[in-house]
Amino acid sequence: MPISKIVEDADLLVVGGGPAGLGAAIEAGRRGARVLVADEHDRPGGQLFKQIHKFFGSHAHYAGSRGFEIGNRLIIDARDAGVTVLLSTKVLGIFPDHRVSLLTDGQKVVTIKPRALVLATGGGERGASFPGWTLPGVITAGAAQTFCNIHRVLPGKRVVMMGSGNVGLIVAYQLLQAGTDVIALVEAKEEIGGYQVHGAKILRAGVPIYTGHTVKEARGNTHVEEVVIAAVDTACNEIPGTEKSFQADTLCLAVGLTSDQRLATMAGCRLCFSPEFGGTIPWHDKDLETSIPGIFVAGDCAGIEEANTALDEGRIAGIGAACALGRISEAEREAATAEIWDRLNDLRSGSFGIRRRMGKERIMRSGYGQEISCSDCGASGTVTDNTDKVPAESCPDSFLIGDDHPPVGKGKKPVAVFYCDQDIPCNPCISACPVGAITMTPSLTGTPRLDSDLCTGCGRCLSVCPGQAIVLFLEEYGQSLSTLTFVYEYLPLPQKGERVRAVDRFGSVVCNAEVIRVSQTQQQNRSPLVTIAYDRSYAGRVRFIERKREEM
Amino acid sequence: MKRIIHHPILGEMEEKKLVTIFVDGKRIQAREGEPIAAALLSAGIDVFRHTKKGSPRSIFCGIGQCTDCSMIVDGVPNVRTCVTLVADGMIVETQEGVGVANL
Repeated sequence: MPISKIVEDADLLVVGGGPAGLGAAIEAGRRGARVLVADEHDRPGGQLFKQIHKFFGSHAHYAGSRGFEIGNRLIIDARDAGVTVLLSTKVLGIFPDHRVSLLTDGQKVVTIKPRALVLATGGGERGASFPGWTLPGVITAGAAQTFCNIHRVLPGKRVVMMGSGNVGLIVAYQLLQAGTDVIALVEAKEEIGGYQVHGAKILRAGVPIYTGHTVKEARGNTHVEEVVIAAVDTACNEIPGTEKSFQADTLCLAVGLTSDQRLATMAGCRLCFSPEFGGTIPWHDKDLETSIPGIFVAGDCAGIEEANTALDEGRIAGIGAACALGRISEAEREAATAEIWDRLNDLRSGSFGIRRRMGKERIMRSGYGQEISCSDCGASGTVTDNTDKVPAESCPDSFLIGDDHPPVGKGKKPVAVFYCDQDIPCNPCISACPVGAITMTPSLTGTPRLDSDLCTGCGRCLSVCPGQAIVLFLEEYGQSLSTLTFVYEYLPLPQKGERVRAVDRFGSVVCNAEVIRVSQTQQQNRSPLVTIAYDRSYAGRVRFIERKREEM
Repeated sequence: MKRIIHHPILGEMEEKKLVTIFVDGKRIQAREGEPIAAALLSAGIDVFRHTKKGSPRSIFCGIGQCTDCSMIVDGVPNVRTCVTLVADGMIVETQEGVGVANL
């Protein structure tokens, strides 16, 4: 590969080919900059290719698409924008005058001097220390996801997951999809850390979540054989006598991530501390430019969030870099980034996002030299905005509401029932509805309202919902039966006519049921719909069916 | 461990050419283009190295950020097996401590 020629031509070097790096490269490339992306891995896309779940957000965020589909799209967009991607290329160092040394294919060192730099180096997973944490079989949740979804090797047969943020919940679900037994999820706090819809998915698959518990020890000779957990008090001290032991071969750690700011540090970028974004991150302004002019940061490197926000931050950094390179004017930069900032603010709203939005604003407002400390973080996790709750009657089976709730339905007509009462930035259900029966006010983080008179029971909203938080309920099916339709993303798929056991939202068996329909269309994008019929006296309690398991 | 042949989202596992690697003298089949660590785990090998004090290590991060999965590959010690792809005839050895180069 004639590397030296390519790099001499580069205006902009982007380090990292994940969503943030590709987003930056695409925007700068579209504005005429000669862009080079360097990535240490053997393919671009960062961690997107192991994200097999559907994303939240709006249409502009590719909501309802799966992570790897977004990755493929970005690679095509980058190619169309004339971006050059160097794979298996590590950045060895950044010198004070922006010279950057690259090691390609483990053999050739090239030093180049791009006129602008975007550092999109991502983040790393945290470990947790307890006796036995270095044993083979203790792995990060990200490693489990990589081996299951990319290399297609099961990392274990019986898994305990530590941590219930979105990573822990999503990876636990994906381990179940891959055919592993997840036997417990352990969370030190009193409540799960991630979205309730993700927690609900694994609960109804029969995985218990031990909140208020931590991992005390992993035991084994040359590999994990047993995981011991214990209850903790509010100060996170183990309570003696509360130990529980699980026979498990794998313990996954999903205990948070930290920004990989090593290159930013080496370049001399000023760092700041942000509790909302995983600790120490490079300071940056609203164009994602660091304290060193011409060096930008984006994505997890600029603060731990998720792929959608990383992509948008990358786009802003790329536009900022194009402006710094003189490809666009300041006014053009302002106009182009304003729209993306609106989208980002949408994503950073609701009770999950508002803390991050305030955290980012605090970082951007503070100039250099001004210290930021944890104590001036005015936001708390309980702050909410735009929480326009769904009336209780259309939200009968929320994850947090108790068991006793009346059956819902409209007699002989199937209607959608929403288990979505959390202010997550998401709205694909609205665009999926062909009759406009679903509305959401006032913003992306509102919760959906259904006009059940308009609802035709077509089920399109079910498969598009990233949280699998919608079902179809038909109260009167024949003399004494009711039916429930839900998304079923496991193998093997149940067959029409098959007798199954219906379970409640905690995975406990409620009654017998019969599968009366299995619908699998291309439009559903690998989220098939299963319809079961069961005795009407159980209506309202049934949420899912017992998963069929292959013998391991 | 087991290969994931069928998957509800990813579909059937793609057919790949098989290559042979030698792990501590033992012959192992690997799928072309996969990392060494994936081949080892699917062959049931899960101790990749021992620390100086003799404690066993295997994969931890799986994406080349930590060094827990380091082994001696074709005589070169401290190779991160989770991001190093297999090649036909590759010789992989369990690493003791920091390993010894054997080029």
